[in-house]
Amino acid sequence: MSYRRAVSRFDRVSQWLQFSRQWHVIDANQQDAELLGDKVARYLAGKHKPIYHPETDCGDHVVVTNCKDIAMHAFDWKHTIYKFNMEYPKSKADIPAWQIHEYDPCRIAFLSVYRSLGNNLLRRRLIQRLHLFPDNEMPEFVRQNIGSQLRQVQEVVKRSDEYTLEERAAFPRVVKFAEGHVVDWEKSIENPGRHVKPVPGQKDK
Amino acid sequence: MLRLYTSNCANRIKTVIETASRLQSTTTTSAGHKFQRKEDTKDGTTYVSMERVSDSRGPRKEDELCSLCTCNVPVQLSYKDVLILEQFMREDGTVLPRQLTGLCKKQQLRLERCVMQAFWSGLFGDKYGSEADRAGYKRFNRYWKNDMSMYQLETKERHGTWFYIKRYPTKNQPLFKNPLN
Repeated sequence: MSYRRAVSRFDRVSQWLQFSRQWHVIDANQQDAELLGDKVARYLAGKHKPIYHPETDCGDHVVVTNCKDIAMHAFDWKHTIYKFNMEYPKSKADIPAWQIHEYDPCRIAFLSVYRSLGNNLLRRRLIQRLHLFPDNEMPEFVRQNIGSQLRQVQEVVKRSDEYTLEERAAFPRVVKFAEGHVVDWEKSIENPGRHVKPVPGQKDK
Repeated sequence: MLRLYTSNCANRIKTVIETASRLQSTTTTSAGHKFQRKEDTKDGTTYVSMERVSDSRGPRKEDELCSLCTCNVPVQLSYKDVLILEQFMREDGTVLPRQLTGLCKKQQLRLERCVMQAFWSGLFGDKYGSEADRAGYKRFNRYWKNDMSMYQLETKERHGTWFYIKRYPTKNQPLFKNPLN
């Protein structure tokens, strides 16, 4: 005897929705390009559906917003080299990721999704359902089509100036100073400048 | 040790600093364990004294564990904990030395690495001055898996493709002056 969950109306409707083309939106702000590419590729190919089969055309549309704020790990912006080669003389170009991103803020998202879709004949058709936007603005018909929002692959890190005064006041104090600590010691020290080694014949000043 | 400065200015500023022995005698009246410099000017004479400042955290004992090691599981500080990092920093953005913070060597080094990463990710903004280099790849968002990931460098080679579907205007920079671009 296996426990069987009662199918609610919501479940039934979401099951029906899987047979149609859904439109998902995901915010690429501070998201790793490769993790985001994996997730988007999964939804483009329809692999999140139980009815998935590679010969079934069950992929969804994915709208990626804020592509200009996409993130990379550590120094990957300069250490990820995209190798373009058309197999013609002088057609080789090795371009670091940040130069591609500087030229076109949506191109890195496209390249990572294209890579995550795998090397197969379907990916050129699947990636046609990808909609990339550099910021929040999008055409009205895209906005009306969007039906669900995907969870981001990483948490968005809060900057120091985004904390409110109440949050700062409620935050516990971690630093603990010794007995007899002088507050003036915490003040910044002015730059003493570079030490100049005296010349052997020079007299002390 | 506190020193006594006497200047021969025109208004004959005489600087008086309480000696360390007097500081020790006032320890019994516990209003706080931190001291702050205080200057009073009375008819041409400047009196400099140290007054006690209270702190919500108590004083650190000699045999106490460091502030980040007090849990059973040692705290893994990361660059996202901006509010913790700021407590260990001066107002110019540098980290306080280990003699003042009282951290163990391991945690102090971790703290310094995390502050570096937070600066590189731009989490402090312009709070500590805007001289940070944001040219080239440093302008874009980056994150750090752990505090040592800046030392684990590797070059990734990716297959680039000219196949690109540009459905919507991407607000890219024109490469050439040609208006067709």
